[in-house]
Amino acid sequence: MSSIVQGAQVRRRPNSQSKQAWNRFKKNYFAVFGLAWVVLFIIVGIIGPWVAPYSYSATDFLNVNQPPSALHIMGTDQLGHDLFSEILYSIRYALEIAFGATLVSFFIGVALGLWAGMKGGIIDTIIMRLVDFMMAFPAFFFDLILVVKFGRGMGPILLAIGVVGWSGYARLIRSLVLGLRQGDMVEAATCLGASPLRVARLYLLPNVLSSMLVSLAFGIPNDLIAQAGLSVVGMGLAPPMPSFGNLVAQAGSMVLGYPWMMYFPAGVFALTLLSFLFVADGMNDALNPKGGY
Amino acid sequence: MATELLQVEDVSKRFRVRGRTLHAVEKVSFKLSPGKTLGLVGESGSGKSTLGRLALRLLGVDEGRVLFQGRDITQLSNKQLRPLRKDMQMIFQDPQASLNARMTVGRAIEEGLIIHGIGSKSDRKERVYRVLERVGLPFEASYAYPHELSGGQLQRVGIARALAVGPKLVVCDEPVSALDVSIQIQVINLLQELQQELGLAYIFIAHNLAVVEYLSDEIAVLYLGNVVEQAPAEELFKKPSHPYTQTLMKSVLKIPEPGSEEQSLSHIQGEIPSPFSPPSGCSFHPRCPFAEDICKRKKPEPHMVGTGHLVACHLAN
Repeated sequence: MSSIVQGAQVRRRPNSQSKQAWNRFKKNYFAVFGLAWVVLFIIVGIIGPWVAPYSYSATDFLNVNQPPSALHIMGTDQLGHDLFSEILYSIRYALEIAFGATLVSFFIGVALGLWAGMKGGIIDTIIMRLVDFMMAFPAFFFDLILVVKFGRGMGPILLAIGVVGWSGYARLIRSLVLGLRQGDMVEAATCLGASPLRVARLYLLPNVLSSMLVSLAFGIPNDLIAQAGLSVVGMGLAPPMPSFGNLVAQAGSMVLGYPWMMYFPAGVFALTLLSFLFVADGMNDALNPKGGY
Repeated sequence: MATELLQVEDVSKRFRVRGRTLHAVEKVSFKLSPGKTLGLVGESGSGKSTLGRLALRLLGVDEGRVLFQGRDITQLSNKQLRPLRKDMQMIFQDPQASLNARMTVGRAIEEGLIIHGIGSKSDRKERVYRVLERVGLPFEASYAYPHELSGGQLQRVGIARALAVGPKLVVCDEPVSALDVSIQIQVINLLQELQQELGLAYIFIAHNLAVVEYLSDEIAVLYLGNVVEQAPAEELFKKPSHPYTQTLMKSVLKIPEPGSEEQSLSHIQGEIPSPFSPPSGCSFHPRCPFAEDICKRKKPEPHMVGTGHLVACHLAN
């Protein structure tokens, strides 16, 4: 026995895989800048409504269409709303919808994708045809139908965007699970007596999650765009709740006279979208050093 | 009869691949008593891994029966099988692939105990440490992730995981063929020590004859899903009767004893035929140096040529 024990020293890796990924991420300046902005965005989303100088519904008819000034640092709109406060509130709602909707899509996608990948056969066929249908059906049109049907509140919009966007996640997770399902790991777990549900939860899901992370990061800006798109056609959050889509759509008709009403919300929104994309792209490069995803 | 741990009776397994039928295992029978080792030998694609998985009911059986401790497990559902799993375990060829990369080694070993509800939390931890120590790993190893360990260490983890639940039967699917030669002998010795200590029965799958000779009480030689020869290990090596077994043994490089006559190293001509369309008659006849007319026409039935020595060949007697 002693001879066996000797050769068995446990060697610690100098760097964990996540540390290495972070080191690769750090080298991508765009991604780091994006991450900084995303973090700022999230912080503002949380504390924004408390630090906003005015309420989003506070109208001030003596000060409509004001250019930026000390009192209203981003000016006011045609109803005298303080644009800065509106943007702070918009960030809060954008954040809720983006993360909420992505989470909804993610959960539906993971559940159906795992199920299809594990079971195979007829269930797989049915779920994948459903995925094909969701992919082929114009997502924005589907969003519109759902919003028209269920209303323009926070919850309905969140669910509408979420329910429409799951197909990509389902397809990805199914393909990853198919690669693992026939492998030794699943067989070993089965041999230990693990139920299929346990195999899915403890073996398959943790092993596919890091690959899902990237597509999750790409999903957030997509949902932000979907939300803004709804506002542009007048089907977004019902006024007076502000959202980037609403602000930009309103400003469209005033852009010649009062361009700052367009510049500020559109600028912040564009920067945000870009930042999320940079972060997602940086994560993709950092987590898959061999490239591709 | 009740003394047999495992009885495999006329078991067949076919896979359907793109409309064609692959005959993976054809009418194989064997018995295994507690504490004994059955070696399964054969080339790649001979169905030895499939047979091992059939014995554990990791694969469904198409024909025949598998009796574990006298109980027919052929028709049991996966759910009914689960409580039995702790008595029958498997050690895999590639330990890295068989372990969950996102689970620490300790957690992986504990997994079986959790599934079968063995012991309290502290009991399980204790048991994990003990089994780790028994397979020659320090208890710190239980906090490591699989990628932090070497191949030999991982195979010890694989063994520990299989043994933690206290099985009676362990199928070892080429447990050493992915390891360095120096590590192979350590792992084999470990397996042998454990067998003696715990009274385990092994089904030892390998394509390395020397390893099988060392470990097995009985050996079955598989060719294209058929058992061509089955005998007690000593008998088989003393008196290999099937041409396939004979050529297999000649292909093994041995250090000659001083004064022994020179032996030529030969290999088997050609490749193993496609299992989709096995040859007529004896499936070995296209490669057999002694093949006669009857071999092409009639499939040989296994018959006795010695005590417990079965051969499926027209020419052997």
